[in-house]
Amino acid sequence: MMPFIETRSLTKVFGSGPGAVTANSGISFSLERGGALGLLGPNGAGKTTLIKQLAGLLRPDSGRVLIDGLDPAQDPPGLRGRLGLLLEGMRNVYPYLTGRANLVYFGYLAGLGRDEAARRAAELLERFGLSAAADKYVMAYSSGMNRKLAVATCLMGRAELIVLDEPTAGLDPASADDLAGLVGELRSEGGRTFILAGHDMRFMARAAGEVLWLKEGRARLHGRAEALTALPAYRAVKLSLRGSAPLRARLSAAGAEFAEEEGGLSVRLDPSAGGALLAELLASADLLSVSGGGDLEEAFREISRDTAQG
Amino acid sequence: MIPLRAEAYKFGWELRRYAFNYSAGLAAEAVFMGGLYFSFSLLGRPAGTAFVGLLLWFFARGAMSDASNIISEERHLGTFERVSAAGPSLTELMAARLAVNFAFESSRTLLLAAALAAVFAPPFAPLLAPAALPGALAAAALTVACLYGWGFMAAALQVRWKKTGALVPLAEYAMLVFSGIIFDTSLLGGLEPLALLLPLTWSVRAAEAAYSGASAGPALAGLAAHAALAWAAGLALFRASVRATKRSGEYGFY
Repeated sequence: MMPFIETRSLTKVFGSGPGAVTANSGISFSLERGGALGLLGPNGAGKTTLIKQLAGLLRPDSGRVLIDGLDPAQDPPGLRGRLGLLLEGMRNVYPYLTGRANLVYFGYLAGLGRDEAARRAAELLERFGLSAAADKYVMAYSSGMNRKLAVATCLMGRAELIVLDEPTAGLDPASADDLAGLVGELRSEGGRTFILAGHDMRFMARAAGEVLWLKEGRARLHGRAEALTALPAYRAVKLSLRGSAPLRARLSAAGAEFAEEEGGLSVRLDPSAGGALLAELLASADLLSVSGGGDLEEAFREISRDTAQG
Repeated sequence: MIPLRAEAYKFGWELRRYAFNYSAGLAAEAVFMGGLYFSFSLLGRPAGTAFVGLLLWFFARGAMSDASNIISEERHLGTFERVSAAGPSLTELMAARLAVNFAFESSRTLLLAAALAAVFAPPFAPLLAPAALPGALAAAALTVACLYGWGFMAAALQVRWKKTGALVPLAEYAMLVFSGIIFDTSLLGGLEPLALLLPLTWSVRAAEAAYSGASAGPALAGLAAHAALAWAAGLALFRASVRATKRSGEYGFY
């Protein structure tokens, strides 16, 4: 079956000559309908570039994006209204409209009728805890309220793909947890597909099904989001894998310790194995589960260092 | 689908918030336009032509500059990319905003016309005569089409070249000076062919024909050609500009 989202060797270079900046290079991934992919990586890694390419706002130099078989760079009528997009920063809603008016406006743009737009706006205002501020101008909102409203505008219509760039920026931890829960609900109940970008490892671990780690425009790691919880201690991380012969040979060659377990292998990585082997294992179809735990912020720093070396 | 409901709704909020500013602005325009009309009458311009010409010019300023302002305001707010991905295509979005803008600018022009007519009582009867009325209405419709075509061209340039908005007033004031509103275009001498490139020149000629009882056919043909060219160029330029900025990565840049 064709994946809902597919990117093939996406490459974008801004400028030319010695000052040229490679925003992304050879990015390929696919995502099934109803999936949630977290884009992680340090500032300048190419997350927003990738998001703009997915939304059809930036044309790649080479490679292509296909969403349900259609290329967003061609602005096909068949994709209109099927995307909910949140961009980074405070640039998603109109400050001279109230919160409710912003939602109704985006509802109308998404093709909702008057009654449906009003009803849906009221539901979302309630869901995001903004009912009390619904009729205040957005210019009076705090940055967290602005962010919640902006996320809500993406949910006004019937978008099948929701792309959120730094959705938790400015949100308190409880609101971020709530948003992660909402993403899960919308995936399981509505079959919506999510692309989530940012640095909030805790949110990603909860909301995303899989993660793509970007660094300097390249995909350095692609694996299951649950692995994020193990990353802080990943030099001694325990992985459970199907025990295929090529995998055993690969682990032996890398000096990793592994033991037979019911249904597969239990692997404890040697510190010298580093991020490259971990990245390979996380992306492997043989991966069954990951265990570990600790400080997610430390994980971000560690994996940034190791993917830079890899 | 052209998102008229969305844009009318949003504009309703803007109108509510800026009602005082719009009202004060219109009062200031009435003083300025009244002064211009009175000066033109002292210069001996035919009262009907001067009146119609001034009103068309007032309308033209809104029609032409608002299209490029839509782009620059969205970019300034940072919402340009967000709204571009909200459902309708950018061309549909622009069409809806220009339709709402047309309703607003038409209302402002009618209010201004009523205020000036109450003070100066310019002659309207020749325009409303059965022989002249169809031509006058056709000229008005074609003028609107021309001006929004020019506006769309300005918006297309604004997408690609962000300083376009600063040049739009140059075209607006050229229309006031060189379109035959203040003085006859025959006085331009060697520059007269340049006047033919301005849509209001043909609109003013249509008004002159109506007032003198002559055929408005040549003026209407000029306006129709202008409208067709402006829209064809505007749409082609708009698509090319959008493609180019999506390639360069400057689509949302202010």
